[in-house]
Amino acid sequence: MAIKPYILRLAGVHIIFLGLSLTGCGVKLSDKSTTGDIDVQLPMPVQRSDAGDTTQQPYEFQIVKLLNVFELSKVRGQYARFYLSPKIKDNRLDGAFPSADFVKNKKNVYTPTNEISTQMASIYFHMQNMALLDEKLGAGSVNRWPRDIGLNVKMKSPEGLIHNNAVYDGAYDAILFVADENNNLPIAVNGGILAHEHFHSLFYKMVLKKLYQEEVIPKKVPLGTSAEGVQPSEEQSRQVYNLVLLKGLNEGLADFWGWMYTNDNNFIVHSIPIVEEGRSLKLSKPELQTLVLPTKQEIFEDTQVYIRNGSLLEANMNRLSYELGTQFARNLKGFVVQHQESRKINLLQAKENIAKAVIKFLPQVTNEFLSKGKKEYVYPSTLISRMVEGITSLTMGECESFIQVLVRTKEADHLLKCKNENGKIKIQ
Amino acid sequence: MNRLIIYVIFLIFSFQFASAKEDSKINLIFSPLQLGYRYAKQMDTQMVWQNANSFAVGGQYQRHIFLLDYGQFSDSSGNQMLSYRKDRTEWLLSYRYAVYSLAAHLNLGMGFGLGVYEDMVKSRLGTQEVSESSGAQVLASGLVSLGGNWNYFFYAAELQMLQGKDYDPQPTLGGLLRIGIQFAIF
Repeated sequence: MAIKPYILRLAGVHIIFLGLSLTGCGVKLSDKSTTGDIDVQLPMPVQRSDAGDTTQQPYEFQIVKLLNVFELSKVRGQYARFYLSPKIKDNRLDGAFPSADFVKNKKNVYTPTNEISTQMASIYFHMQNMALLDEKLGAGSVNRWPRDIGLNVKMKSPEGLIHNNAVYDGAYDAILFVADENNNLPIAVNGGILAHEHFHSLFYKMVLKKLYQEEVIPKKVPLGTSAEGVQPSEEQSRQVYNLVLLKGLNEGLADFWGWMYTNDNNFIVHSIPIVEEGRSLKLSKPELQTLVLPTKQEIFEDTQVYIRNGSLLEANMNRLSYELGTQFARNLKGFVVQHQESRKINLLQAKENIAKAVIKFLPQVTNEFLSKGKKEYVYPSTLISRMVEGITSLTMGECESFIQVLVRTKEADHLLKCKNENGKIKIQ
Repeated sequence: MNRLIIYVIFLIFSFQFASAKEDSKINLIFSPLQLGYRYAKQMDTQMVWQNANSFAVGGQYQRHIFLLDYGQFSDSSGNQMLSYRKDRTEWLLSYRYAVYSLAAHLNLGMGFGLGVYEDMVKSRLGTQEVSESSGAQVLASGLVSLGGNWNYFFYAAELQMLQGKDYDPQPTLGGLLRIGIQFAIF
């Protein structure tokens, strides 16, 4: 009996459909399994063999490993989570998780296909390194992980929307990136700037939070009632002075953190070229030997000038803080070089030792301001002395070499000397 | 559940296919002027319509149309220092069946397709440039079309649901406007 053509065609169609279905079952049509440790190709700082500068391109594509990623399409994992143009809810960032897009090659290396995916993966990688660094330096319990990161954040200043910047906001415990509209290395990809902002989170939690709670320092620059020609009050002068000193210390240590992480004297310049002259940590040998700290008198006089010109007080205070910060950062770099030479250790070890001393020093900054900040002027040299004392196994010779910077500073009423107190080196 | 729905739809028009008349011409179709769109996520959470360069060749026999589509989607971002360009190239072989005639030269069709796509990304950082490719990946689609032919002209508007492992969202909605020519070869 002949089979009808109708039946034959019907059977043929269903065989094809069944074949396609089975093929489809064996073919991956969706990829939801990208989790765990993932190799990604990202712009990374060029490895530098010494603390100097390089004329070569500062960043290059490198393959790095993102650890413990929960969901690559959102670059969400143990170390960071991202919010796009976030809002604030219950003092935390809130909003949509941005989507990231990657191409996976045959060696299982993922390459971002657009700028925002690169930003997310780069930030994740640097935050992961910051977590490991915190742990190594004794600050592992300070921050909560994953870190909250805001992208394309809309922030306003009196002049309008802010562009090309990143800030750590202690109130929301988040690093916020505003739109980057220049033609330089995007700030969100700049490892040094990320380390700088990360340090601000440590400083906020280990120093500022307590001082704000105890009202030792005001959250905003106290504008007071000063008018031109009128002497500012003692309270306002002291508040502004201590606030500027603290902010300068915060910025300086954060710049040191950026240098320590990237080994790059000009890490900010790649993204914000306008700061080239002011914040470079490039130091020649003679410059290293003539470093000084800002004196109490210099800071006091500068703040007095700005207080009297009240209309630009906040902007001028910020500028002054960054100038002080650079001085602190250069001195810390100087300590690293001296420490490396005196102990005959490699640069990495020297940086790690000084960074550990910085972490040990932060609670002492809090104590110094808690005990003196409401009534007295805190001296920069006193703060730096406490930091130097925190260097592990500090010897008398090393201490005397370090305090040369304090001696050169010539703080008239505040001369300091190294003393051995029961085997422990103190600066008094 | 999705597979079951697809199968039921397929079942309906497979009977129509089986009962189709055999004595008819085979037309060759060339569709060089196509407007392709995808409703896809781009750079962030926003959904945008992306357009593509595409063309197709194929054939028609009675109510059956096979088309081989070529499409290319591009997306670029970044600045002078760091920039990215992604190109997605697709080859999709699709079949559609005219399940209902709305007018003398306008049919409602349904079908499916299977093909491959490849994503290529070119990243540039200063003077350094690197290219990476996903290699060929499988692409599947279901489609609904509204179109027909008149004299030497072939025309169609199609809605596609496309699925591939790198497509976001999954499935991705696509639209295609085709204007082409056709001529009988048998």
